[in-house]
Amino acid sequence: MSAANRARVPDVARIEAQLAELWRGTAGDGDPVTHACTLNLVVVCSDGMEDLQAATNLVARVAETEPGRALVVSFPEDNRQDGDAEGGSVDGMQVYVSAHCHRGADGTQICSEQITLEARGAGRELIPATVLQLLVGQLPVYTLWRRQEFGDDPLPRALLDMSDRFIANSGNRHDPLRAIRGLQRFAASVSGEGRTADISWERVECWREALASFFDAPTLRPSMEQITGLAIEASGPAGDGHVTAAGAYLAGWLASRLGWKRDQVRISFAAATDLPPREVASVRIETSIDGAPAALVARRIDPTSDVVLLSAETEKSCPLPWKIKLPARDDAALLCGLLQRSRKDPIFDAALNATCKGDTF
Amino acid sequence: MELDRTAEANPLRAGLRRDLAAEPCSMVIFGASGDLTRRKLVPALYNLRLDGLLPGAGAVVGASRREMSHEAFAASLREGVEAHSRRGIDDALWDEVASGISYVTTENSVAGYRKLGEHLDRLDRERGSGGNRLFYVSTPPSAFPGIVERLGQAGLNKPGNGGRWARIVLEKPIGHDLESARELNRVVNQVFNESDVFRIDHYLGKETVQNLMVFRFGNSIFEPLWNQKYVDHVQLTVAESIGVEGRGKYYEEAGTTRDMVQNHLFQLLCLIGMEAPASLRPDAIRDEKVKVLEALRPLPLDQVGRSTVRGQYAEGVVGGKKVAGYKQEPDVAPDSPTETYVAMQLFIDNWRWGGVPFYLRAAKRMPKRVTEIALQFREVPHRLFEQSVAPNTLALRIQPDEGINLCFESKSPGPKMRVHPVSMDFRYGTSFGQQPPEAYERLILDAILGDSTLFIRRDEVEASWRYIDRLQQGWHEQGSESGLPQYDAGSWGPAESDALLARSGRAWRRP
Repeated sequence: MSAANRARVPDVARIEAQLAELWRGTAGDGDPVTHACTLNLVVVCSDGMEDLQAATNLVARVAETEPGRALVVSFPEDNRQDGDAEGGSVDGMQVYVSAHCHRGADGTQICSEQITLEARGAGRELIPATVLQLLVGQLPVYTLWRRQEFGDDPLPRALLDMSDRFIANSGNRHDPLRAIRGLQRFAASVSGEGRTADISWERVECWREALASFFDAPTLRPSMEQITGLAIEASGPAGDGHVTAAGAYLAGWLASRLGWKRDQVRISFAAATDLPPREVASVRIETSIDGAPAALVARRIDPTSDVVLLSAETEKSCPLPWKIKLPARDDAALLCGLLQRSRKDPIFDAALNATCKGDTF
Repeated sequence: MELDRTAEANPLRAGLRRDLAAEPCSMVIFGASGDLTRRKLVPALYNLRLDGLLPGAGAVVGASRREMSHEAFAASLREGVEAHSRRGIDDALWDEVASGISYVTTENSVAGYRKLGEHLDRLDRERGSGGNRLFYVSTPPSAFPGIVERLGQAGLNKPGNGGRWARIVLEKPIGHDLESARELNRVVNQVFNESDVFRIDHYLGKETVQNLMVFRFGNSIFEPLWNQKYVDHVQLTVAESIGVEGRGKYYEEAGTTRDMVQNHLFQLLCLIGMEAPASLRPDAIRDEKVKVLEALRPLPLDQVGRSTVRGQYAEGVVGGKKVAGYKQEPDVAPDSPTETYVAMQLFIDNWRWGGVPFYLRAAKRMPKRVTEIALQFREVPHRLFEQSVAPNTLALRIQPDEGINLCFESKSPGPKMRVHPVSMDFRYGTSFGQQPPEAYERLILDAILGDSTLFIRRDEVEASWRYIDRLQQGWHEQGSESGLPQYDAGSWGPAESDALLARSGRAWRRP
């Protein structure tokens, strides 16, 4: 008998019955409740109950804009004593259901459901099969991986196989560049491109918008082809060389979109202080305008501001400066942004590959 | 027509959510001191800017006959944004927007417009507008031709230095009847190419109206039922709870038929009745829409009275408040023959809709504000159950509570075979937790991008006026201008309107 067989197998029919009971309960006070479901969101927590609470809070926030069924997989601390391997009380999977409700714009109470799977010991092996049974059919499946590394763990691969998108968050790692490279290797090892995503990539979208807007004006478009230098200032965590996840993705994105060759563009990273973690303070692009050296600079007007000043250092006529406002987006909002996207993002795939290829930095 | 989608020219735009970010331009608003500018246009521009959909470069120029300083104009716009924007104002961003706002007092002369041109040239240099120009005409319709002619005479129908386009946006109403619409279109097309003319009907900018196309042509289950074989009749309702709100003078000239039916209701009718376009190209869609209008069965003049009902609101109670009747409104004649309620039965004579009545109604001072399209399907061919079963209804709610509702019969629990109607609801606010943009945001952005899909083409305007003119002629010949049926403000309209449907055994929905 395998360890998994010894573990308690969750009764899916019972879970569904609990859900039905839950919905009857939420509607019990006469206040009409709308049960909305547009997707499945599988959230895989880090070890310990602390992350389960954080993940539950995240799911509640996401449910306000992306209602669906959340399957939160948690790994409580294993309290077994040596020699207690047969002790069934902790070996297996416990499942419970809950609802996240909020008021819609019209006052309607809208509820989403969360199924929490607490896996202990051999119960870990039951996760893929249990998740698969509990998914709402015909709706997209997104997996959010909150654990540190993929390593040799078969779980991420199993979840990826049943997911439309597999989302990591490299910005939360101690060495984001290493995490990004791990994600790239993971993405490359499975068939079907475009199924991996990274919250850190979504985080830099507003900066991509800002940098792209330099070249919306037709007069500045030729400068895009003449970039010689890129300097990114961002806040940690960062590994060697102050390479943050945001910095790595911005550089990889520019390199892939503009077809930079090795050593064509000098790229440097610097640590920003007085800024919340994982944020970008400034990006400076060395280029030329009408043949004269110039720099296009996007910089927060102060470290705590969400307004970025786009300016040009040039002697030539230029339609700058102007300001843009960065949207305030926490991890929940960033995750919602990824959930709303089409399921494949070839621009991300190209940026991820460029980031990891070694041609870029 | 090639769109100015910057993703095609700027590779960094590819894959961005805002891959439709617009090129810099100067937007000149004629009639800038009017209410629309403060309530809708500038809040829309501000929100587009907030979303990063408009570049920092570019300018907004108010043009009006009234004397005003740049600062006073910018301050009035700020008040407008504070009062009417769907999102709060951000000081830093507003300061940035305000730095591009200016005001020009326009004389009604070519010289005055040349001065405007010099101002725009200066903005091209100082604000990076790139020579692109969008003229937004939000004046009373009588001023349209003069503005357009002077723009042409001053050479402003061409882009400025380095620019790629000069476009004009015209607010409704486009004409008062077919003849005036044709004349206005003639004047406009003498100065601007049709591809640079954007006739706005703000209904088309609403997300739910755009969803009609997705609902019909993005799902395979509805379209097979969308025809005379399965649909008994269609009801389109545009009800407003407000009265004429100080616009008595305008309303006396227009009436509900010209104000609501010729544009909003006919556009909804087109989207419900049209065939699937071959592509999403603007002209592919507009070709199909105009076919619907051209297929409307002309009403014999002596049948106009039988197929239509007009009415006028008398005093009553709306939203718990006592309100005056139409004839007591300011600037309304005490013996006014203008309708504030119109209902009509019409037919689209084509293979899809042959014999299916479309019931349209638009009115002011209804019990509530609602815009809804409802398809009532035919009854089942054989009565199997003791109880009568109600026909299925598919209701598409445009505003408020945007969504879709399907009504069908179901068995009530219990030992007896009892049939009970139930409904299946889809609500935008539930499935998409995000706030949709205002219609004007979408339309202004599309005009800057050069995407005319949601704007009305010349032949659409003229085809709709052709039908409306005939109704007006019929009403005139029957002398029904005098003594329109009255209805209490806050009611669902005159009893004659119920009779219009009752003759064929049908009834209006109570949305």
